[in-house]
Amino acid sequence: MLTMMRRLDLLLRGGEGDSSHVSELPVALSLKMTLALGGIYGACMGLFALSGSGAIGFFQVCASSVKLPALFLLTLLVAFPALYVFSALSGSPLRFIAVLRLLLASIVVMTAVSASFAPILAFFTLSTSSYPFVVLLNVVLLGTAGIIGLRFLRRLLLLLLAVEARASLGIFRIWLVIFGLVGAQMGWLLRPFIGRPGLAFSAFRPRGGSFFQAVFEHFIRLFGA
Amino acid sequence: MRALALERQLRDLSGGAPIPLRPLFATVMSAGAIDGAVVGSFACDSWARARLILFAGIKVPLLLLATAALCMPGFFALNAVAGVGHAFRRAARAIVAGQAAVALSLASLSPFVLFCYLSGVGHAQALLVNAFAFACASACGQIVMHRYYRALIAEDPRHRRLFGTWIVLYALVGTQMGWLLRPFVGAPDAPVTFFRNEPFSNAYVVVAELVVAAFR
Repeated sequence: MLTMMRRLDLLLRGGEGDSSHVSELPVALSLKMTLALGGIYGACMGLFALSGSGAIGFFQVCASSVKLPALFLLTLLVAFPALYVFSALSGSPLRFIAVLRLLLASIVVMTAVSASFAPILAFFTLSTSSYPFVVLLNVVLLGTAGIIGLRFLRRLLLLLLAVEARASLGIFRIWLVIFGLVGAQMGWLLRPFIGRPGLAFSAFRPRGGSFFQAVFEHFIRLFGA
Repeated sequence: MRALALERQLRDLSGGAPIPLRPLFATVMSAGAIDGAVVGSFACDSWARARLILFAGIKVPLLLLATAALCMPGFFALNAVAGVGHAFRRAARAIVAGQAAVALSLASLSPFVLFCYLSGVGHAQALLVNAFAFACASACGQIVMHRYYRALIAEDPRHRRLFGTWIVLYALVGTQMGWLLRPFVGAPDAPVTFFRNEPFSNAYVVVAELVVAAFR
């Protein structure tokens, strides 16, 4: 536990311009940290369903605390091959396992930032009854965590890439777009995380629609009619 | 073992190191087939539709290799006329390396394409996703090809113009080849066929007709 905290602290501080804290981060440890930190945020997301009747809230808290780390890890699974091939073709010296460690470290940063937002989320979740507000708050908090994690990744890539390979950072930007799109849509596929009031608990909702459509609709509902 | 060989090939491609042609062709075939199989898996809800996985798995490597093969003689003639015919072997190697990079990038993007399919996109969106993947892969291919061309350009600046000519030539022929070899994604209501059951048509004429129809 203590080692985990120390590693996490070093990771968040950025190792003062040194990348060894990432390149030596064991994959298993990153996975454990992602599960723990993502679980904290997920549990707070599920708190909204506690206002519902019966055991719905309890089930939702449990389901969300598993689904949130799964969201990050499944997004990684879909986007990882592209980043590996793009970075290798653009001349980066990073090997397969090094790219994997780097990406897992960024996921840990993302989940750590979101876990640090968890008290704020819990406060709003328990004190408001507006479903669209809670949905949009989650989009903003997770979006912020995602952006911070990807900036961390970009900084490390700049540190690790050979000078000549930096010219191909354009390809990395395209990858960022892919990662963002997949992450957003993955969140949509794995829903419900929060649990719409009045609906019975279900592990997953039927397919259909998209993340962007839903965010737009909630936005209209919150500020519109 | 194979993963290590792939990793070495990626490094060699990125560094512009000379690679024997056979493994490069093997990469184009296998990585292209992986991408094709994923491209063809759109709306796969029956055995008949599943045949499209096989068809597209054959057609994507075919698209890459046939386009390059068609352009090669013309490109050789251009090289010879420009007075750099003696270096054509190296230029051809750069082209094949670029093709391998395109195929590898396509295969690496195939989980993304599959994910888009699984999240329930429509036919038009599926076409867009694949167009995006092809655009990204082409950019990667050009970067790698340029790595191989750098030494040639340093020796003789005429190679710079020839490199640009190849890109234009390849895009011109590739667009029509892609059009002829369709369907790759396959409209959900259309019958599954290897080629479309219609007379040969020209991609550029079709686009021109669409533009004219849009403004009429």
